[in-house]
Amino acid sequence: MGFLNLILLQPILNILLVLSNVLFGNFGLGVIALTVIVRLVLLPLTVMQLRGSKKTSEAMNAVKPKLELLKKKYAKNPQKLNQETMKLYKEAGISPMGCLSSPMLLGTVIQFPIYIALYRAVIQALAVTPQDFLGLSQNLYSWSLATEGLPISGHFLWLNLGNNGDPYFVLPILVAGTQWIAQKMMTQPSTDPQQQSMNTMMQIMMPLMLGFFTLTLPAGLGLYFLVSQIITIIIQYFIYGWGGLFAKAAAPEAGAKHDGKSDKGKADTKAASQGAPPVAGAKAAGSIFSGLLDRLKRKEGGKKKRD
Amino acid sequence: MMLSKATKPRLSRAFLLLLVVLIALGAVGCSAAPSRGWSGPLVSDNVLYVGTLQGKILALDLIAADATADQKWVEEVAQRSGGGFSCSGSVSMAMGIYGTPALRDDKLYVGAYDGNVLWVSRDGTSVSRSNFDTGGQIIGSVAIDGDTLYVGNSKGKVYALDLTAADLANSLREGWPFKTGGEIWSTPVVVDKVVYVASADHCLYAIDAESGHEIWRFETEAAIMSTPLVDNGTVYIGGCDRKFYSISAATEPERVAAAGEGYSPTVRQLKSVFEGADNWFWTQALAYNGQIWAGCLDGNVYVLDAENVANKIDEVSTEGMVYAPPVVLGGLVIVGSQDGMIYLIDPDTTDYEAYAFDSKTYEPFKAPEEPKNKPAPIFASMFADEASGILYFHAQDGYHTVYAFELSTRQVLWHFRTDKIKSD
Repeated sequence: MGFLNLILLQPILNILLVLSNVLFGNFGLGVIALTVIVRLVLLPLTVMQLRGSKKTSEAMNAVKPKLELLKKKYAKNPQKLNQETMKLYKEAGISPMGCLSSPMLLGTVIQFPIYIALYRAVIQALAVTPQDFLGLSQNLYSWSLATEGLPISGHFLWLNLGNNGDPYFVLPILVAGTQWIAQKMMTQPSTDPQQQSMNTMMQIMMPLMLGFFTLTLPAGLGLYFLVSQIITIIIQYFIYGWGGLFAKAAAPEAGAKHDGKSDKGKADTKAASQGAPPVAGAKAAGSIFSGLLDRLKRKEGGKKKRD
Repeated sequence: MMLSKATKPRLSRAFLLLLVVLIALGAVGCSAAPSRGWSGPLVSDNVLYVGTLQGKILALDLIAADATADQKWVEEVAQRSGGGFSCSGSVSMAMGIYGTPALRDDKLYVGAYDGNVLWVSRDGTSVSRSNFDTGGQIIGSVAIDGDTLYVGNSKGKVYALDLTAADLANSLREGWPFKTGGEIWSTPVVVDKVVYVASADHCLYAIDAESGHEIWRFETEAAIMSTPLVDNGTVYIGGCDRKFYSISAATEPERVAAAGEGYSPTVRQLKSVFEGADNWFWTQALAYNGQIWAGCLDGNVYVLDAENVANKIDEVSTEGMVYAPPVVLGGLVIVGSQDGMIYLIDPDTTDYEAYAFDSKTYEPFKAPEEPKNKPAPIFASMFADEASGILYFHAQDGYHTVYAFELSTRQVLWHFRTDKIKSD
């Protein structure tokens, strides 16, 4: 914990206090400025991940017809199907763990320690109890800019950033809403009903989860989530355009032989109409879960046959 | 209930997501620190009074013959606030009572974290009918001078209450409260009809105790959380700017002038300053034999020249924050530290013996010997009883225990757990 404090909590806490002090002693503006800085630092990584994800998505689309053929060919031999699928992925340059490089997942994983450090920084900076303020003394640099603004007020607009959630529920709704938009931009409609169901599930669960976090954690962290999501939307727009945000749901695979009218999203429209998997996080998590479920089903099927 | 084939995978996915949420919440939740506060003991007529973590006032009968203490009475006067689960937003849970109780006649006065000032009769049979609500959390102790009680709160106000009033709720003296620009987490000090109080607005104030008018203010570079020390016409105080100051106290002509109308408060100039600390000062210093002993959150106790605090005579290093004010007992300066040890320091040589107290067996261990169970930090002010040669202190960390440490034998006479007390 001491090492994490040294490399994460202390720099974030001190920078947050300096920013708040410089920005008219306003903690809310400090949180916004810190979020922008964190996202700027992570920008090369984010862009790299988004581009990598786009590439993977295109590669997946390219191998999709071959994959369908393999599925038909080895329908009765799941083990062989698995081997051939891996081989195909390898040839196409798709990492089996490629889903983990999805920005929705990896971006969150990378930012998670920052969220925790920021959570602690918000609590310590606003010093809800005297003990917290004592703890703060052990994590401050000797910068006068960091200490002269203390104790700092958590009031920002209608919020108290040190308190949990928002009395009017505006912040959790905004956080959930922006998360939904960011996720929808990155998700393309799928012709696979199972995949589509997973996408829908993720599109509902992820914003709800983040909204729940915002409701139960200090509002300062919720503000970080909100600003961070808005920045994500802007970055995604410049790389993908609106993506799947305004795309209509694809017709089920069985019922439609793709007349090219079902998808009107700007990016990856063609891919989606060919029954391609979604581009981003939903696909990532989706492919993990659906892969697992497929295997389980196949195992069950195999057992029944043997019985 | 039967689940459809389509529902099962959805449920398992939802379960996985829920698991992720719980793990994340757990990871964040683990950051909660143990609750602790600093309500120190007060001993009078063989009875020890102390505030507890749960917002109770506890009275212990000190039975010298058996070298034990028995619970005399307990009174719940405040609620402990804040959530235990860290998702509630607090790293630490706020205590019901932070301040040390103060006695006047047959009443024990206390300021609670919920902002109320109240009293409990000395025998525990009655409590104040109506409390005085300051409207802001009280972290410091109350200070009583004659018939008046002074207390500061987190809203930056200092109140003067008339203790002869029939009803505490309507006891506010005319001209009060005095408003500062920041939180007051320390205890006001009253000397020669002048109230000295430190505020988080970076200022130390000298206020006329009768009219509530400001005499002067002294400005520092950061918040001041420590209680001032007034000794020999000088006010000593340390701040969050890592500096320790000495300032000339208010004079009687200044006070009289301020009590009248049309007086403009002045800005006090510095007498001397010590700038060698590595962290904040957050406790009241001790004046002893022409020296000022100032505990610091950097773990050191600085021994400074009372005439000019810029002259550091010596320093004693502990392994934790020094939050409890140093006390004198049997010619030794005694310092309690966050490292769970008490340091018995010879003021002439600054040589010391340090004792740690096993938090389960309560046995003292003389350093460098270490107890098996980590000792509890000492944040609360200690009570040194010169008559009996006993040091009373309240150590808090998970277990909350009052110790009676006999200086002559270096033994713990008795201990009393304040986190597990029976209700009357």
